[in-house]
Amino acid sequence: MSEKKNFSGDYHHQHDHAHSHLPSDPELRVKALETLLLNKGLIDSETLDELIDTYENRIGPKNGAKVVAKAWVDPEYKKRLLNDATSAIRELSYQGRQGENMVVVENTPETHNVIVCTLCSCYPWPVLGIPPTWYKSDEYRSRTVREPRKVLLEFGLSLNPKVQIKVWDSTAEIRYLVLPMRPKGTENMDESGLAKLVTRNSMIGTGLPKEIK
Amino acid sequence: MNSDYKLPFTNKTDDQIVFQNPWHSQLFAITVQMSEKGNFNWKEFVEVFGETLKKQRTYLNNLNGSNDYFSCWLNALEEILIIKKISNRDTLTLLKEDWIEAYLSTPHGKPVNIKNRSV
Repeated sequence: MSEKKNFSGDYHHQHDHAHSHLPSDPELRVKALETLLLNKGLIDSETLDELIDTYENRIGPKNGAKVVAKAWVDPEYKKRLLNDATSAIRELSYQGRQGENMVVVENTPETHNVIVCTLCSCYPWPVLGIPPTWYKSDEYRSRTVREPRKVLLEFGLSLNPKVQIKVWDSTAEIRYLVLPMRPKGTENMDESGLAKLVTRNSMIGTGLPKEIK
Repeated sequence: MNSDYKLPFTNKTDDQIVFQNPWHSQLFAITVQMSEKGNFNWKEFVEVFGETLKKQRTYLNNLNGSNDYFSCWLNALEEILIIKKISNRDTLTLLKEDWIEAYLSTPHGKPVNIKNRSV
């Protein structure tokens, strides 16, 4: 049997396939890590499954949308949110990992905010979940700082040239969330209805909340 | 075809998927758990990860944020485990080889397990 590694790091070998399919190189390395750390008693499978379930199914932009909707209907809450975002977000029971030090930046008719992480992909997990693929791409991470207006246009967001764009670079210590402007014509809507208008991208700054029809 | 098809950040059909591959989520969960148990703090991990991404960029033009991004994450986790003396390169390689051997010697359809190596 011969075996070689291809460009993507997968192992390939030539003979009939009576044995199990061989996973890719990174898959095998993750398995090796898991074996090592389980054997050392440093991790346990139950917590791993729980973590995956939490971030795949339970934590996501819906949390952030509730924060934004509350700020839209409750001026006192909005004040607290802009003064001390971590505490105000905690009022809605959203806290913990990668949300220990939150800053909320408010969009106004004059200023539009966008968040990025130029180092890697720091992101406010408790309110937005795990970042989308594009947030982690080199293109987004480098170009958003260099040419934010053009990047926003590529998201389909065309801003008036008079609107100033502020780019906030997240770090391991500070995570940002954008408070988008409340859409026009929503004066009679309640908090839960408003939350449905808040998109993930509107809280990153690469989009706007949905308009009401 | 949509008129904005060529715009890099639109029409991403995978946009709503949290983890695109099971090994991404497994790697993520292992890292979070290791950090939460105090083996390293998140800032330390982010620093190593940031360096790994930077290194990767010197010979790969554009990370797309999926497999290549998590490959860097994997390099960073291995690296920090070595820095913290939790493991070493030889052990990680041996364990990977154990898994390769296990896959190649297990009949298709049967559960794959590796022999018990003392780590």
